[in-house]
Amino acid sequence: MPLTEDVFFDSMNLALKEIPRGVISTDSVQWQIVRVAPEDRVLRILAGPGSGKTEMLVWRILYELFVSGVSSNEVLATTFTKKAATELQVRLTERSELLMQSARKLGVQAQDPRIFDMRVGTIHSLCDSILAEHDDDYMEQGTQVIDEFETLVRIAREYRQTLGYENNRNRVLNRLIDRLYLTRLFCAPWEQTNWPSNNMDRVMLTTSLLAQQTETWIPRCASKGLPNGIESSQSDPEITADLVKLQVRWREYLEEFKVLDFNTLQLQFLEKQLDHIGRFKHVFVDEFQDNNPIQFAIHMQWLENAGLRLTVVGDDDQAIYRFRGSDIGCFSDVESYCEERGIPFRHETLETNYRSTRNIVQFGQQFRSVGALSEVSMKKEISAATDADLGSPVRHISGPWDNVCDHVASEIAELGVGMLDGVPDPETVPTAAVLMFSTSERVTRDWIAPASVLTHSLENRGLRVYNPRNKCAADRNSGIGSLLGMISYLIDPVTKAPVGSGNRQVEVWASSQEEHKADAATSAPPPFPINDRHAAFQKALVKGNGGRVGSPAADRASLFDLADTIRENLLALPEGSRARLNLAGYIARLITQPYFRQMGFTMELFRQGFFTQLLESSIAPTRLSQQSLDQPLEARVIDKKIVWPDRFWSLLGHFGALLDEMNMDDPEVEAFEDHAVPLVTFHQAKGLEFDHVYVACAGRDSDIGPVLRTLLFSGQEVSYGVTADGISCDDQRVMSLAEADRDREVYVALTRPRTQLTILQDTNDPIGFARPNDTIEQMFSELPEQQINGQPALTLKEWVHV
Amino acid sequence: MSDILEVSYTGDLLAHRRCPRAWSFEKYAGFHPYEQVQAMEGRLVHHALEWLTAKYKENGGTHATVAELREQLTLRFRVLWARGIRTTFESKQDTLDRVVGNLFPDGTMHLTVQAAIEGAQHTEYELRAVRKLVEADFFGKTKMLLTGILDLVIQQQDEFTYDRTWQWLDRSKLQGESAVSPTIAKRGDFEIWDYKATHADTSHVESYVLQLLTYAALYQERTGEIPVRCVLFFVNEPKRSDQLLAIPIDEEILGLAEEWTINQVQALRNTMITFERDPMSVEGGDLSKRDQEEGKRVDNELKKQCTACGHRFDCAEYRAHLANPDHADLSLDNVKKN
Repeated sequence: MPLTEDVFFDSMNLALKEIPRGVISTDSVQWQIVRVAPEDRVLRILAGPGSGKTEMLVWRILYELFVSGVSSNEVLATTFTKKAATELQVRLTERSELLMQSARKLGVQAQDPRIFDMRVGTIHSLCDSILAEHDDDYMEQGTQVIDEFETLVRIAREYRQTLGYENNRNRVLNRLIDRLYLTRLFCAPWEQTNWPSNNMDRVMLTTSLLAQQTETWIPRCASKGLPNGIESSQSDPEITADLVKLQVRWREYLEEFKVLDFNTLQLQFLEKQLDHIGRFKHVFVDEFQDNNPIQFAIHMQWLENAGLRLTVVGDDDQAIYRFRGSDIGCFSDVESYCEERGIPFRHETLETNYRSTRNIVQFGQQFRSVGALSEVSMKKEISAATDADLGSPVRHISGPWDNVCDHVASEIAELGVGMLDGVPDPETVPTAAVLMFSTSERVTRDWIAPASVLTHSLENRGLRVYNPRNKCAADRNSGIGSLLGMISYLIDPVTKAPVGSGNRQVEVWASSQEEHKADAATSAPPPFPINDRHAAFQKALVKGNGGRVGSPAADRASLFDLADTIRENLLALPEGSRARLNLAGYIARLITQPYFRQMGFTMELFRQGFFTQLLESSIAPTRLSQQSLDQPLEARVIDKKIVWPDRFWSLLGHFGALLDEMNMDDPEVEAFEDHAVPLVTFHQAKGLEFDHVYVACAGRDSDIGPVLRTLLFSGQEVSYGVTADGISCDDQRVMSLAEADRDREVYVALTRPRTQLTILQDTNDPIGFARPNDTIEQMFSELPEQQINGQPALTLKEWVHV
Repeated sequence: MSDILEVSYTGDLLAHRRCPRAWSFEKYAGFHPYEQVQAMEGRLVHHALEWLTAKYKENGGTHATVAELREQLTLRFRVLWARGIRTTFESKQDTLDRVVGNLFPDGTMHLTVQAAIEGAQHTEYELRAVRKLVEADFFGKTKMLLTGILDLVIQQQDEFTYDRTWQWLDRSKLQGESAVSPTIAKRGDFEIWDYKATHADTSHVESYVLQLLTYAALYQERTGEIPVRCVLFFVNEPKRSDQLLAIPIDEEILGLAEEWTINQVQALRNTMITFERDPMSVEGGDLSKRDQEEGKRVDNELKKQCTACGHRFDCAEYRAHLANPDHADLSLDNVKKN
């Protein structure tokens, strides 16, 4: 028997006291949210930061199960990340058990709702699991979902032949890439103006085009016959057809190989969804503000089932994924969608922040009210909980970046964060994180990334740093770069040989673009031209630590000796005898060498692990072909040259370009999160909270590209032009949306701390995103400056809620 | 940044118990195993039984034919191969022959398989449990999410006799053995089954028994029903009478099994921390044989995993076990072995 509403709320309040959390009264908005009213079809919850939205979502789900008697396998909850799904599952289980215990205290035996029968996951995993369970074709064909990286690798391998790109030809991808008014829309502000200038740039662009076409144009325009807005904006009547052709070719490729990328999976689900809508009675969607149009279409299509309820939760001020195709319009459009179709709609707002001190909450609220968000934000007034402490002032520390970083490192070390051993009482150590718009640690001739300086400061104090978005995982001297260098050395060793009329000793390798160098190499040149960036990784490794070609430094000499011996042994195999060693086995052997094994528990170790996955991803697309890369290594000597099968050249070409031309992040492994100082981007910080938060690099310019992409691929005509260094647009709506997008990222960062918020600012003429954020600077402009003890170069200002 | 410790029963606990070193590198540090040799047959068997059960229901009580099963497994083999799952057999044909032959000896569905399919209430039943952890014992983790997949929940359609029954030799130490002693299942008995693509004399049988008893405890927690017994189905066991092992259940043993599982989780967390301090200090070999001297913690069953392990070359335990530094398995420049 289901519980009565009164017993449910009494039990819930008993449970909340035990957690402990504040109880819910019948006149509160929380009560309105948890209660599933009989007339409810669509409920939209606008939830500010720290307002307990997950808690409310959990109790509303439990109300549906315990009071309405809906079976848990008829309830679906989608979250934005896998981690959020795990946390929701754990919270649901805990609260469900607590509720049953509380009901028993009231003398009522509640029936176990079998909470784990409920589907909780990201939209991709849910689409996949529903199709796998109920769609015979999908199951019997063994369709596999491929992740973003494998999608990229497959596009890198296929973008010429399958998708249609050839140098100096008029194929479909050539035509799309040649349209400057299209490519500029996808060009990030920090890219060079000649982007896309190399293979991986073109692959990245192709990936983005396919995503935007599938996620935005198809759901919003395809069925209505609406052309892409670029057609009229740029007087280009062919562009819609070319984009359609590209997407169709990609889909045909995926079907042939029985794989699905995330975007096409959603499209396929949307097409088949009507067969499955009767299976569910209530769909819950968390972080709805970050949905893209195809996800919006999926969630709205659930409503074709007249008995289904939809609950969506989000915060427009925290919509930060437009650059990846999401559209804040999806959140606000729910209401008009329902109105147009006569679907009952309810809107509730959670405005109390239970996470942070009053100073922090009011600082965030003022940031909203004086900056770009004030013009576009949905109506809400965020305030701290009535029993919240005033807390420490919000701090603004400025000075030369080296000094700022050193000071932050000393504060964090004092807190005991970032250490496994040597902390007197681990249970009292608070949590702390540094949040930055970009945590890239790439160092170039003209620029040392701010995150790189900070990482060094933290590491100098013996702290471990967790920064997965560092953009330098594949740098030439990293574990990944070194391992690629060793594959390159096995197949195409760089040697010195006399070349030219003067017989000068120069570096030669078989895949060199210069014929005379290729001819003098040990291996026979590849039978087709390949990108020879792999050789740069090889040279970086052999020349590292004072080594030379043919004479590597002592710390890595054993690697080259091993590779030489393996190559000799392969060549020494008798006729008719085959090796069993493959590339992955070769890597496993290299990793045993002291050069790699002595890394200890550092990110380098994980990069080596990551390399094996990258290698797998690069091999996987070939596995179904006759020439599988995980077949054994084989080499022969013909005319005194070592001849390798084509497939190894192909791998070297693609893999070298992939690592060299992409700013690659580290794997996000839980292993390295523990006992480390998180150095994370504003985007990555979403959904997280820490006791102490340092916010830096919040001053990037607004970027109109993502806004224009959304509008144009939604079929809207927007006037814009191409300039020497980007795009221009006079449309005030576009400018406002772009400025709001930038401020939303900062707002997310400002709302993460519980007790202490510190803004960091470099005063040494910073450029790019490291510049001051105008709104924040304005908020501190009138406040008195103070000195920090022992740090004459630093200036401190403190903001207190008045 | 998360205080939740996510643990998969087979992917983490059993893998860690077999070899903490291999688990640390492959699962914790992300060194992708390039050949999952052991996995192919097990995955095909699981898929076959799940598919046969679905077809039986879909066809209104008619079983799929051996030819239909072979066709389905051929498709599945292709998908698994593309994902890096490998077979110990020489060819795809040998692998499929073996899997199909075990389920359909002489071309006719084996009676045990038939009973399992006809009595199936649920296949691939996902179990998840959340437990609070003592933060100090688990290095900062306060909750555990334990996941496992129960292969089959069945309700016996007819009386059925199991020739082998698990007998406890020392319940307090959770030590027992598989004995030739019949167990008679009555019509209507609720049972939970787990398929193992191994022989019945596997050295891991005790771990499998405790895994299944823990599943029974979680199943009871979730449904309120306590199964009458657990059953291990050793699909590759050639002797038919030894294929099934009935495991009796009582409340006390479920509690003890769950406690054992929590201890395994703690051992897993300790390995994580050891790895964090010094990756090379995590020892290889069977965790349950830690009290034995170096070289004795690898048995013939584990050796099949070790010989294909990408981290075998500098594994002190495996080197000691082979007792020959020039063994072909350890030679870095041996190109005749992967």
